[in-house]
Parts: sequence; C-alpha cells; structure tokens
Amino acid sequence: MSLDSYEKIMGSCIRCSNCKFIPALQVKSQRFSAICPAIERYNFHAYSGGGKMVIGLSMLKNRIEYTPDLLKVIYRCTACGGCDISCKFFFELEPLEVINELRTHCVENEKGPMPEHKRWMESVETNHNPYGEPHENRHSWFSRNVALHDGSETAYFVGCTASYRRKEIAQATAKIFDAAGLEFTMLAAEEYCCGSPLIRIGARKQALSLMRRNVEKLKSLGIKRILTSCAGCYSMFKVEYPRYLNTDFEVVHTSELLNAMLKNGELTLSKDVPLKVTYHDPCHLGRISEPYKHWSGEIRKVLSCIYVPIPPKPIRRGTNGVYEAPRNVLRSIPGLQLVEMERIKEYAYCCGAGGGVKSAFPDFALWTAGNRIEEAKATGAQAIVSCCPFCSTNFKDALKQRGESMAFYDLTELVLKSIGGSM
Amino acid sequence: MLDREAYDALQQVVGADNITEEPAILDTYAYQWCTEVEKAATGEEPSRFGYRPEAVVLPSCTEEVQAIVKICNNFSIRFKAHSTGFGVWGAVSGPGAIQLDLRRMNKIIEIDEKNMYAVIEPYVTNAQLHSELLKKGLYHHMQGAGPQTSPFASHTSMIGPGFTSASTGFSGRNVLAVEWVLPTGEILKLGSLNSCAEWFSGDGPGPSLRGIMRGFAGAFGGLGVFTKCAIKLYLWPGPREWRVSGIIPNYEFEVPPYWKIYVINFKDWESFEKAYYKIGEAEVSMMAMTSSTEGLATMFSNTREDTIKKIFSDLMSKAQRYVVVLVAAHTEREFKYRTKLVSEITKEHGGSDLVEIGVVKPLSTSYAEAVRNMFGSHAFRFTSCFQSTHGGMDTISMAVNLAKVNKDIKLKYIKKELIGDDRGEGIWASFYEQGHFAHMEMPTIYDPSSAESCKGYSDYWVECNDTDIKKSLGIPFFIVGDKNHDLFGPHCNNYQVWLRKIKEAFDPNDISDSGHYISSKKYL
Amino acid sequence: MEEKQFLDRLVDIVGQGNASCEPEVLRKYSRDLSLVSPRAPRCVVWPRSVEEVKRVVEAANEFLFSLVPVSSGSPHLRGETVPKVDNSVIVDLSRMNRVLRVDRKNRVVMVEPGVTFKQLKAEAKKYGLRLLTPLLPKASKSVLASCLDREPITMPKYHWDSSDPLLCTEVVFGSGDIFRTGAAAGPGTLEEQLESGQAQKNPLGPTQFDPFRILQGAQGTMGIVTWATVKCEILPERTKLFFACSDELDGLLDFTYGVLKRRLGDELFILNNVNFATILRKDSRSIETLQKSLPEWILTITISGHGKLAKDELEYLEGDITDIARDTQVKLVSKVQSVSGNEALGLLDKTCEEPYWKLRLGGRCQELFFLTTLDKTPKFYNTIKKIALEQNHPLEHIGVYIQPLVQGCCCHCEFDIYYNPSNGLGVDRIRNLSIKAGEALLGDGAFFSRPHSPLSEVIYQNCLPETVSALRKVKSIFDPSNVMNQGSLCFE
Repeated sequence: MSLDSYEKIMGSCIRCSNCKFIPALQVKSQRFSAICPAIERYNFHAYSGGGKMVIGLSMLKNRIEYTPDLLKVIYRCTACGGCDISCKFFFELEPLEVINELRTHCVENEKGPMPEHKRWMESVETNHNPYGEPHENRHSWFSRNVALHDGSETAYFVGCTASYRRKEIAQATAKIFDAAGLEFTMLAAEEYCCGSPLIRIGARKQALSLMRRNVEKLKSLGIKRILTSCAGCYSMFKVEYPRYLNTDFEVVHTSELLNAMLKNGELTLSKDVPLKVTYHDPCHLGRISEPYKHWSGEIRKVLSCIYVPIPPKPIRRGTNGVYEAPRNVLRSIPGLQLVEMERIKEYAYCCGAGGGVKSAFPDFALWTAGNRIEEAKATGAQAIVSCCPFCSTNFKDALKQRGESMAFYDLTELVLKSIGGSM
Repeated sequence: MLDREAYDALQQVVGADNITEEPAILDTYAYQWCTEVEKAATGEEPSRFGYRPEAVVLPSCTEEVQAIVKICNNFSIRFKAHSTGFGVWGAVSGPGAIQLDLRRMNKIIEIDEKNMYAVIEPYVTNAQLHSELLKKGLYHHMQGAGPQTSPFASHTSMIGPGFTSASTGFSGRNVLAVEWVLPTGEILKLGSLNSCAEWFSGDGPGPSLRGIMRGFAGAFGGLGVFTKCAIKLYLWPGPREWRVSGIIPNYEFEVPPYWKIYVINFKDWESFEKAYYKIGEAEVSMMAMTSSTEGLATMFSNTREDTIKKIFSDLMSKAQRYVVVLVAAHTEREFKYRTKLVSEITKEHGGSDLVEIGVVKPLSTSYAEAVRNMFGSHAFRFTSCFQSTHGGMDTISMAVNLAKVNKDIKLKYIKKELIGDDRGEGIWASFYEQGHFAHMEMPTIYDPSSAESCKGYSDYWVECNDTDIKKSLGIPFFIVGDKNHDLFGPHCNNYQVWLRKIKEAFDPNDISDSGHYISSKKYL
Repeated sequence: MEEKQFLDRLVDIVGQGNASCEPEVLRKYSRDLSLVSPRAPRCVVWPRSVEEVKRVVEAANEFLFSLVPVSSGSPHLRGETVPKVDNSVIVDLSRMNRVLRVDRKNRVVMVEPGVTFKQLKAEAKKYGLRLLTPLLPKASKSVLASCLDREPITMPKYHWDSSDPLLCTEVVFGSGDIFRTGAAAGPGTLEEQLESGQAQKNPLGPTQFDPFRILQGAQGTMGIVTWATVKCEILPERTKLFFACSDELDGLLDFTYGVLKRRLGDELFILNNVNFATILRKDSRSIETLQKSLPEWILTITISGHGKLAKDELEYLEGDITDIARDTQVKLVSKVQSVSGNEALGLLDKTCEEPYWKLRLGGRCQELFFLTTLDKTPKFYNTIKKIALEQNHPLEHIGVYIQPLVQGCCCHCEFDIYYNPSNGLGVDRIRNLSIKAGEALLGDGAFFSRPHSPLSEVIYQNCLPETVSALRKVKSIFDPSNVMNQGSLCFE
C-alpha cells in the first residue's frame, strides 16, 4: 500500500463535488445537506474528499511539496468517510483510502503529523494512551462491584477515552454487563491503546507495531471475543486489525450486544426514562465499520475500454454499518422517544473529533460539533445519544462552550438508568 | 506569482482566510474533468491538470466580487469565477489568472411561491434548492450535470438540458432577472431588478440585455461574474416531503401517487420519431427522453456491476428505439387522462411498454433520480468518465437525423478500441417544452488514464464537429473559445464577429478569462 | 443635395412604384393616434426583399438618415412608427407579406414582416395550427412586429419564456449586415437545415449570445427583421370558455394563480368591465350599457381538447378547474349578462373587427402598460384610480387588462385611457394624466419593460446608469452609425 497504488483512483476523480454533500437522494434541506465538515468550514476545494484525491495525485506527480498550509489541509479533516460514501453512490473510487494514504505518506516522509499529534504519539509509546495519563491509572474507573471472570474468552476492551476521560461510559457498560449476567474479563494493565489515534493520523508503522503487540496479548490471554463501548476501538478491531494482521476475533459493540440481550431476554429495561432524544451515528460504528474483504480475481476489458473485475470487487459503502442495533435499544427504553436528524446512518454528519482534529484543531472540532448540535436541536430533542466516548467528549465540550441546555448521553448511560442502575 | 500589492488588495477585500496561493490548493482548481481531452486535442499529454491559478479567492457577496474585479482591472489580472466548478470550463484557461470560487455565496434569497420564481446565489446546489422548494410545493429546472451542481451556473452561464426538460425546458429560457458584475466592475441589474428592485423579469426596458448574457451555450465565465439570479419555478406534482429510506446503494423512494414511468419501445427510428412528436404534442410528460440500450441499463441500476450485467443480458434484443416517459399528475383525473393518452400513442405507433411487459423494472429511486436529474451521473459508472459530442438543439427530426448520421462515425473509433463500445448507438436526447425543441448529444465513454483513449475521444469530437458543419446539424455544445468560434463562425453568418464586438465593448481590458468564451483580439 | 442623392438611391433600390415622397403619403406616416408630436418623414419606401432592405440600410449609413421600420397597418397607438428626427425615412415592410412556411409537425410558421394576424390565422388553421396572439389584435397587425414588441399573448400556459412566441429571425442590422439568429444562423443554408430535419425553431444563440433578444423590445433601433419563425400550437378539436366575475380584483387572483400553476387553461386573462364591454360591443352607447350591467371584473378562461381524446381532455380539465374554482371561492359561468361563452370564443378566434376595440370608446386610447406580478395588480389599480380622480378622468373610460405571462412568473398590467380627442383640451389633458399616472405607477414599482411615449424619458431616467450605458454599448455594436429609428428609447 502506497500513494502510487492509488494513482488511477486519484486520477479518476472528476471533481463533481458529490463528496461535499450527503447522497443527493437523501437531501431534505439546504441547511443539513453537507457531509464534509472540512470544506464546510474552510471552503477551498482542497478540503473536500475529491480535493484531497487531487492533492494526492499532485504529490505523486511531484507538482507540490509539503508546506504548513498543506498540512492544515490534510489534517483539518476528521477522516469521517462521509465523502467516501457520497462518492460511492455513483462511483467506485476510494476517497477515504486516499486521505489515509496521504497522511501515511506525510508521516513516512517525516513531514507530519501535526505537532500536537506528535506529543500524544509519544504518550502512546510511553503511557500506552494518548492522554499523557499514567498507565497505572487506566483501570481506576473500575468498581469492585462488578464481577470479572478470569479466563473468559470474552474481553471488554475499554479503550483509552472511556478509561481516562469518559469513565461514566466504562462504568455504565460494566454494570450493565454485570446486571445481565455476562461473563467477561478485562485486560486491565495489559490493555494498551488500540492504535486508532495513530492510524488515523498516518502513523501506520507505529500503529502496526502496537496492533501486533495487542494481538499477541489478546491471543495469549485466550481472548476470542472482544466487546467494546468505543466506536474507534470497534472499527480498529473489526476493520484494521483483520486488514493488516489477518485477525479473526469476534468483535461486538455494546449496542449490538445490548440489542441481542434485549431480544434474548437477558436484559430487561423496566424503568421509565422520559426523554426525547436523537441518535448520532458515530462514523466508526457506522459507515466505516465494514470490514475489508480481500479480493482476488482478474480485471477484464469489455466494451473497448471498460475494466471489470471478475468476480466483482466488494465495495465498502457503509451498507453494513451498525445502525439499527443502537436504535432498537433506544426504542426499547420505556418512556424514551427517539426522533431522527436529517443526516443519519451511513450519511450522518461527523461529530468533529476524529482524525486527530480534536487535538490539533480544537476550534474546528467544536465548530463541527456545534453544527451537529444545531441539527439535533432542530428535531426538538432534549438530548443527543451516541455510542462513542470520543463523540461524547466533543459533544459535551461543545454543549458546554455554547451554553446549551441540551444534554448528551452515551447509550449505556440511558440503558443503565432503565435497568434501575446508577453511577 | 501575483504582484504583492495586488494580493494584499485582494486579501483586504475577502480576509486572509479566504484567499490562498498555496500550490496544493491551487492544484485542486487546476485539475478538472475534460482538461485531458482539451490537451489531447492540442497534442499535449492528456492530463487533468490545466493551468494553475495564481490565487484562489472566496468572495462572500456582490460587493466583494465587484471589488475583486476592480482590482483585477487595476492590476491587469485575468479572473475566472465558478460555482461548484465541474469541468474544464470552470477553470482558468491560461497563466497569470486568478480563480474566484463562489462557494461562500450560497444563499437562497427568496422563494416567491405565488409568482413561482426563486432568487439564488451561485453556490446553491440543485438538491438543496429542490429540497427547499418541495416544502412549498414547487420545483425547478435542473441541468443534467447533477443534483450537486449549481442551477445558477447552468441558468446564467452553461448550456442547460435536463431530464425534466419536457416540462421544465432549458436553463437559458428559465432565467428572469439577474445581478451581474461586468468585467469592468460595474454592476448590471437586468430587467425589473434594475427598475423596481424586483426579480420577475430579465428583459428591458426596451431591448433585453439577456441578449448579451448567454445564448444557447452560456458565456462560461467569460463576461464577468453573475452574483444573483431569479429562475422560474414549476408546480411540484407530489407531496411536500421527500421520503427516502433504506441504506446505500439501495434506497427506497416513496413514489407519489399519479406518477408512472414508461419505457416505450419502437422497432425503428421512423416509428420512434412519429411517436416522440406525438408524445410532445400530448403535453403529458414530466420527462421524455431517450438513450441507448446501454443507457437504459445504467439508468435503472444502482451499481456498476448491475449495469454491466444488464448490458450483457438480453436487454439488447428487447430495446431498440425507446422513450422513457415519466407521467406525473396532480389529480387522479389528470393521471387517468395522461396515461390513457400515452397508451393510445403507444398503440398507434406500434410501440410496447417495456415496463409493462417486465423487461425493464424501474426502481422506486428511478422516480427520485429522474426528478433530481441524477441519471446523467450514471453515465460515469463505466470508467468514471464520459463526455458528449454534438448537442445541437432544434427539432426532434434533427435529433433523430443526428443519431443516424453519427453511428458510423462513432463505430470507426470503437473499432480502434479508443472509446467505449456502445455499438455507435450511444445517444441522449430530450425534448423541451412539451416537444417544441429537442437536442441530441452522444455520450461517449473513454478512459482518462489512457493517452490513446483521450486522443481518440478528442479526434472523434473533432470529426463530430466537422460533421455538424458539413451536414448542417446545428451548433454542438462546446463551441466555445476562439479556435472553435473561428471554425464554426464562417459557417454560421460570421457570428464570431458580433460576439467579439460584445466582448470588446464589455470587457475592454480583456480581464474576464475568455478561454471558453471569445477574445476580442480579432475583428473582420 | 445629399438628400436628393439619398432619395434617388432609395428609388433605385426599391423601384419607382415602391418609394414615395408625396406629401399625402408622408402626412399619413407623420402621425399616429398616440401623443407623440407629428413629424413628417422625408420618404416612404416599400422594400420587397432582404437584399433591398440591406441596400436601404447601407444607403442610410452612407447618408446618415434615420430609418423607421413599419410593418403593421393602421391604426398605430404607441408612437414608435412616428419619426423622432427630421431626417427620417419610413421603411414600410407591408409588401414583404409572404407566409414562407407552415410546418405542422414542428408547430412553427415562418413569416415576413408584412404578414398580418388575419392572414396568418387563416393560413395556420388550414394546417391544424393556432397562433399565440395578443388580445384581439387588429386585422392589419403584423405578426412579426407583435412578436418583436414582446406583446403579451393570451395563453400564459404556452408562454415559456418572455420572448415567446418569437423564435429565429433574419435581420439586417443597422450596420447593414444580414444576420440570422438562433438555429437559423447555421451551419448551412436554410434549405440545408431543413434537409437535416431542422425547422429554425431554437431561438437561442448562435453559441454564446442571443441576438434575437436584442431585437425584441428594440422598437426598430437595432435593425430590420425580414422574416421570423413563430411558435404555434395545435388547433384543438373542442374548446370551452368560462367566465368568473368579481367586484374586487382580489377575488379572482387565487383562482388565476391556481390555474396558472397547474397550466390548465389556454386563454387566461382578466378585464375590467370597461374593456370587456369594448371588446364585446362596437359603439359607445352599447359599450356603456353593457359595462354598467357587468360586475367590475371578469376573468376569461378557455380549455381545450385535442385529437382522439379531446372529450376526455376537456372533461378532466373542466373537472380540475372547477375544483380550483371551488377552493378559491370563484364561480365559473358560461355566460355573463348577455354575453355567452360562445360569443366570446368567436371573438377570440378571429382578429378584431372594425373598429379596433381600443378605438370604440371615444375614438382614442392612450395605453399605459407595464409588468408586475399578479398579486400587485390591485395596488396599481388603486394608483390609477387615484390619479384618474385627481385628473377628473371618468373611471368608466379606463379599461384594465391583466394578462399573466411566462406561465405565471409575471403579469402584464394595462390601463387603457379612452378619450375623445375633439373634446377641448383632450390631448393635453390625456398627456398630463398619462405622465402623472406613469410616474405614480413607476414610483409604486411598475416595471415599464416596453417604454412608449410619453413615458420613455422618465422610464430611462428611472433606470440605473449602468443599464443605459450597457444598452447604448449594444446599440453602438449593431447600429454604429445610429441610423435605426433615431431618438427612440434611450438612444440619442
């Protein structure tokens, strides 16, 4: 994998601008028609998915060099995959792949990432988390009231953000598992960062090193099933680990697990949670959580100049993201009313935090979250619900900064309320 | 590099965040679809990178556009403005020019429901406008370039056939009043806007200055910058809510009552032509267009894979000359009458409805895509690339004749494997205003990554242009730029002389990029 | 001396029998029924071909005389055919009166400037076509001139663009160059174009400008059009006419909007009882009698059925417009007082019988027309009422004609001031009234897109200077020596 392996794809971009908007069939208003926060904020075409494809090609053709302004274009982007989905409504190009590859190229050529990223890369190296927090505090959120089962093949992989910043999510998750009688273990001190922050900013080498270590550890502990309450970790274990390291762990997000538990009667939601909420689809749980399917076959030329893969190549369009499970869970909570925003599921607008934006461009992250909050408010909801500690952090920061009365909950918090549990 | 004083002056106007000289950003404006064809035509290496602008500027309002244009005049800097900027015609056409990206000018200023017009800025997209108009029971003419492109650009500046042309006409005929920053920096307000600050008319007092504005093709940014315009609207024959469910790529659209798609097939051009005229006269169509069998395959498919499958199926033997008609009525009475009439016409001309007999199965989203003008984008599926030759507009008969004449020409290039093999039948035609006018273009697949294919397409395009001249088949779409005008002009009453005079009068300093318009250099 | 040379040249070009400097003849062209001050031309010529027109224009360039094109027969009401400067020659195109082509398949006719509505209606009918006409045009009205003047047509459903029904033209510009606009420009000769299946229908272009739009509304200041193609529609098998009446103009607007949006009716317009009566009756007394018996406002709408399913079509249209009428509290009737729908239909089917309807009440008519939107018409009616009151002009002598245009985007609003010129200070009073009313209407937001005397000057004074400058630039391109209808519009 390298930038030049994407040359044909990059050169196939026709600059149609579909990547700036949600799929055209889904546009229901002008106000909520954008998919790409980057171009929405910065306006130059370079900031769009298509723009970055051109930049990739331009770099390959030695037409440009890395400059501070170019780095801004590359990194003022949450790599949310929105452009990718919209493009794939008509085409079979890979804008998100190119964006990721461009970042990798940037880092491998020692031109990036941003200084703020370098700081937490060091922290991942030394503290095994990007927050600069001591590793020994990783498990400090854990309450002894929850039973752990050493030797279980199922591990709850908490993730850095839930461990250090959104402890309420980890706590609620563990309590719900416990209440449902789920037998699971945790890695505790053996849990290191999943590698998501590294891979998203293009530090692929470092990410792979960490990922290899994690795989070894998980295998040594006999883990076959990974549960996670973090969309970022979910996407890593579901998509990137199998892609690069050929792993075959069963990867389940809490929303999927809770949905299954409710169906099987392992969990009952009895307490009213009288709240009108709207659900925000995290990118990494939704559109970019489809695993890669390796393809092998031949490319056949038909009709003079059309190249067709035989068998057909699978296209990752976000069709199989986790959309219904969290919604089903929310609909099962008594007293809760779920209303939808205009941009949902595979064409949901990003929270603004991912891809290294939260650390390197915090204003941009908050600006994007602010747009999403406006969309949530337009539904009349009292709260936003999501399933990702990173989305959670950014939304909470934005709601506070804006002085909004709207609340934010993780799915697990509402489920915990409904089973009569408390934090 | 721009003169520092000029750059600073521009920066003063728009603010530091809205101007850039960063080469990487500039390259994303230099790169345009179809540049490779223009380059191949001149013997250069086909690359999508054209000229890099010296800077990109993002104005937010008319006053900023005016200030920028005046600075350009002061410093003799050429400029080119675009909206969504889809295609080589949006880019600067030579060195030393700046690009105006009108993205920040994206307001829907007014929707006059009663009098059925909308006033928009350059960067409102078709889908955005459609979604807002629907809420008021209206819709507009969308050009075939797609829902993510700008109706403003099409209405003021660039051609304008669309899939709903049967009922919504042609962009150039849907324009009302316009606000226009001339190349000199003066602001011209057309029609009623000038006289009483209203938008309902673009003509007068006296002669209409729409006469110098766009013609059939549009000025392609070569005569200043349009900053606001009013466009005609139409009554939406459906509910005021756009209901699409499902997951990509298989969405489901809630098809309104009284909508029906037909694919009426005829055995030959003769019966097709007669029936197409009759369908026009019947005044029943929201959409009435034709393409090749390959076009049919891609129109009603959601993926490339599905399209290719259909092409290699027996569809070829079952669809010869067909019309895709969308009947959309406001009442049950209207629907009954219209569908009865369509059936009568079908029977009378020996046609058969491929939908009724199960050969073609429109998806629910086919209805949505028809009215959001998304079918054109399906043509990109094959190689992520296509372009059309010909495009002249006059009558249905001319359109049919054009298709017949072009077949053998196209086959020559197909045989050499330079362009996609559509049996020479690759066409798209729509009629306008219930059959009064029709245009015919030849969508052609080529491989943009192959220098040979780009050159092949370019050679084919040149031969198509020559054929239009030799056989009097109208002036095709892309007869823009000095070279093309000097080629066609002598066969067309030397119109290029007058066009040059207009350029000279309104752009005496030659500041508005004339690469896809005309320069004033030569006089007869 | 120069003048004589010029006049001799003209005779040479058009032939002895087609040029006249006879005082009687010149007097006829020196005035019309408008308020424009009379001014005699030097000569009248009747060219018969585009070549003759071209040579006349070239001569005018050489000798710097003003050419005033005239196509229609009298009466003329607007002053644009009266010379504005002394060195003027009337170019009367009435002898270029061939219907060059009627094309049923493509719903188009090609006509020379002298072809009248009476002539063309009959011809088109033979081929199963009908014209898109202004309201009851005079029999001698030139079809081409009407199109060039952007006269409102009575069927807004078929008015897709403000330029309709004008399509392509052949013109001799003021420079003396012959040009064909739209698809007619080429490639190819007209015959070659016809052979390739064309019909000179597409009015746009060639390429990146629309010269035909510059000719429209120009009142002959850009060039002389020697033929035009004109859009037609299919003659229906069956037609029905309905009226709707109201004492308030407001009461008819929602229905009108409803029908416009759906594109349901063919003819669709609103008249006040004064204009309704002047159209239906021929002498002052009958007009006044009828007018007094009528409600103040009468809307006319026709629907039609075509071809084999004419009956079905008519039924559905009637059903749908009845529903709209019900929803907008309007009652559709087939008779108003003594006037039946069939009688009105019969009138709409023909050109106006003598006397021309605008001359029936008093003998003269000063038209005040402008564009606006339908919803604003009551406001403008109030303005004209106020001015009429102030100027002591009886409301019974002000006709109102409201014509939706461009499928409802805008509206032609016309106030016809009827007067008797032999009543003392009639003409001066009317001029005063027209100017005062025009200024008041301008101030209220009326858009005078077709400036005519006596308001031309004030209309252009009201324009932004950039507009006037742009128009003058255009004029200098197509008529560099300013030989075409000098002194008109905003051109010196």
